[in-house]
Amino acid sequence: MLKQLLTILQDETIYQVEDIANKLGTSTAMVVAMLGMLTRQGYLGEVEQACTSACKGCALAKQCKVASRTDAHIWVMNAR
Amino acid sequence: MGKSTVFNMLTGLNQHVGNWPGKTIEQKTGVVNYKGYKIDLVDLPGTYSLTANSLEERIARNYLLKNRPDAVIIILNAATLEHSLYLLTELINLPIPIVVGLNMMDVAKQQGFQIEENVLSAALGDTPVIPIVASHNQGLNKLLDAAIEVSQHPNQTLSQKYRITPSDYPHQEIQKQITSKIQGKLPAIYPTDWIALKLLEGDSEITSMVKESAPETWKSIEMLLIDHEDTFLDIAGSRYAWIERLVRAAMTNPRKGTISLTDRLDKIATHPFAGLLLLIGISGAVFWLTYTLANPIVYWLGNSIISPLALWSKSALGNAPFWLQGLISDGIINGAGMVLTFLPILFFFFAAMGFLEDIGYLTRAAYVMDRFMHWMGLHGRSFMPLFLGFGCNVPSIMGTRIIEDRRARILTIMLSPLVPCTGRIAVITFLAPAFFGKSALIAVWGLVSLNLVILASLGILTNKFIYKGKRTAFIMEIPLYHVPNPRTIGLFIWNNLVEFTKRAGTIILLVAIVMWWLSNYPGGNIENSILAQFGHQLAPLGHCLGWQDWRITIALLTSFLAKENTISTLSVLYKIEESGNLAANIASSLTMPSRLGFLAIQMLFIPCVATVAAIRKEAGTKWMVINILLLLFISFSAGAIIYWGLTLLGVK
Repeated sequence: MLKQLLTILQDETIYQVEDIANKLGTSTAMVVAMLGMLTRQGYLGEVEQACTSACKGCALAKQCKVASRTDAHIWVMNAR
Repeated sequence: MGKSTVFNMLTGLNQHVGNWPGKTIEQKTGVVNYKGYKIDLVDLPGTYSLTANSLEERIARNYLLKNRPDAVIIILNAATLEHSLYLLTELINLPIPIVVGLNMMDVAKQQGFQIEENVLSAALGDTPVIPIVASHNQGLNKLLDAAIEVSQHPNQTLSQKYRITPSDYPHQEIQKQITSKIQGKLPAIYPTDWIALKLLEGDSEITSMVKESAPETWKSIEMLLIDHEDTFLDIAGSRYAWIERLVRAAMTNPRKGTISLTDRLDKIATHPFAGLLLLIGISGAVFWLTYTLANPIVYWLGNSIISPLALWSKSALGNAPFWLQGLISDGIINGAGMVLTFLPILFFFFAAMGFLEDIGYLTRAAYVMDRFMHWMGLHGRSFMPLFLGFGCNVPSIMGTRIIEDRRARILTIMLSPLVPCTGRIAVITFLAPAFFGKSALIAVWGLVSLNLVILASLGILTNKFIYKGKRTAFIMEIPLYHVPNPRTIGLFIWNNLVEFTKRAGTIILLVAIVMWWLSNYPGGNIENSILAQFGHQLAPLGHCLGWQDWRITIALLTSFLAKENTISTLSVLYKIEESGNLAANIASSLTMPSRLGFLAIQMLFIPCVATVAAIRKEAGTKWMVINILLLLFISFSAGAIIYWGLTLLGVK
């Protein structure tokens, strides 16, 4: 199942989790769980949306936070 | 998951908090006195698996293997069962009795999930599965009863317990070969087949241990592992297949299959074409609302508050020295004060953005926009920094730190200043009604679009001819739409207005004072001032772009310190309290083509000094200089093309 997921992600385009779930014939929750696993293994990176670790100590972190409160989870393929 | 809540509920004050030996991870232990039993409870670090990806996972699994507790209570989140079951697939293979606490049953019910714990328990070989709501102390006694029960009959429990056997995995033959090679060569606490499995999963800690403990056989094991590099995906994949079967058997969601409001709305909002049209329509509506609602208030503030206040201060300071009178009336009240009339524009703009964000629409906008980002050779990580630019370009530049690929990062930094910040938008919204009358809204919209078109074109060209960037897959989990929270939106508006007011009280005020001084010395006459002499030197540039008035060139240059300074400088130089409406006065000195050209330059001009400093910090001096030169070229070219193009077409 994980291999199928990675095969789908080779297409280098943009997906909604729902699209992937439909392709794999599973639930979105299963896809999110597998994306989490692939992220922990380094296949994917989860995009930080607010100024978090990368912006530690930055005086503008608060302003960034205010302007980027979207609560979507975003992942991108990492080069391996 | 609620693991710590369960621990706290059970142990109460009988807790000891320290660190795991030699580690900085917190260790919590406690004692539970229950039905005559004294139970020692250890709160293991939260983990997703038993593979050594993190320190927490290493601590948890080493504790389990070395200390062999009488029972393990694993807390699963019933509302996100798929997420937490992976750990169970690993735990179940260890020779330790297990009890499953199915937490957050109330939330799962609210979300429409029905979980049959008996089915779950049967599928796990009669492993006890106890529904609980830890935060309300529901089911915790049953959890303890079950833990006591399994710890008292470990052999019976372990023989019944379902195990994901090697036959469930591919590569089982390899696992058997490795098991036979390491048999008896490792510390007894580690089950040999488990070690073999972890080697196939590429577990770094176990690999090092086997290398040290069985050096004579390591070479042959390594050869097997090299030949089966992708076993992790197969093993983890088969665990997920097992999880899916388990969830399908034990959990139902009667709401599944029904089309929700979110689904219906998203059919349009995330559609490649309809979604884009909707985004364009919504952006237009935001500008229309901002313009329609804010501008009457802006003019009222300017004409009824700022100008009369400047006149009043001048007469009140009638006996004061010339410099004090001019500084307060023209420099501070007219200059910096005029910028404060932007507050209604910013209020309505941020209210609209806050609303769209709070209902969850902006996430959809990001999804639709990402297709374009791909054309520009930018991947998903670039969207958020660029999107931040609509507020202020500085956090936009800083936000590129989340982009690991330097090439994509530099490209994002170079493009960021082309996203019109609220400073630029406020300036054009302030001037547009006097410049374009009834067509003001279309002009504002067109100018914002021009920036975005240039941004996209530059990105596509750079990607095609310079970077030849490779695209990467980008996955988004879009949340449900939700009812907007007035408090959240209110805070969003408030924080942004406070930031703006701080800027108006510092850099904008300072520039207004300096501009007043430079425009009044020597002699108190603007035409003989230092600024005028400098302005006249720049006159040829203004002539090329369609304006004869040097004050406009100076105002444009002061926008380098803060975009809003264009207005404060024009207010100082045009002395509005004597001559009425500022925007109308500026408009009267410009033709229609030069008005549009001037605003296009204002929108595309080099960013403010804070942004330039951020570019230098994040990308280096070379890219900062390139960015300045590029934006000077783009802005003046666009202004000249607009002015000369429209003039040649006969527009006046």
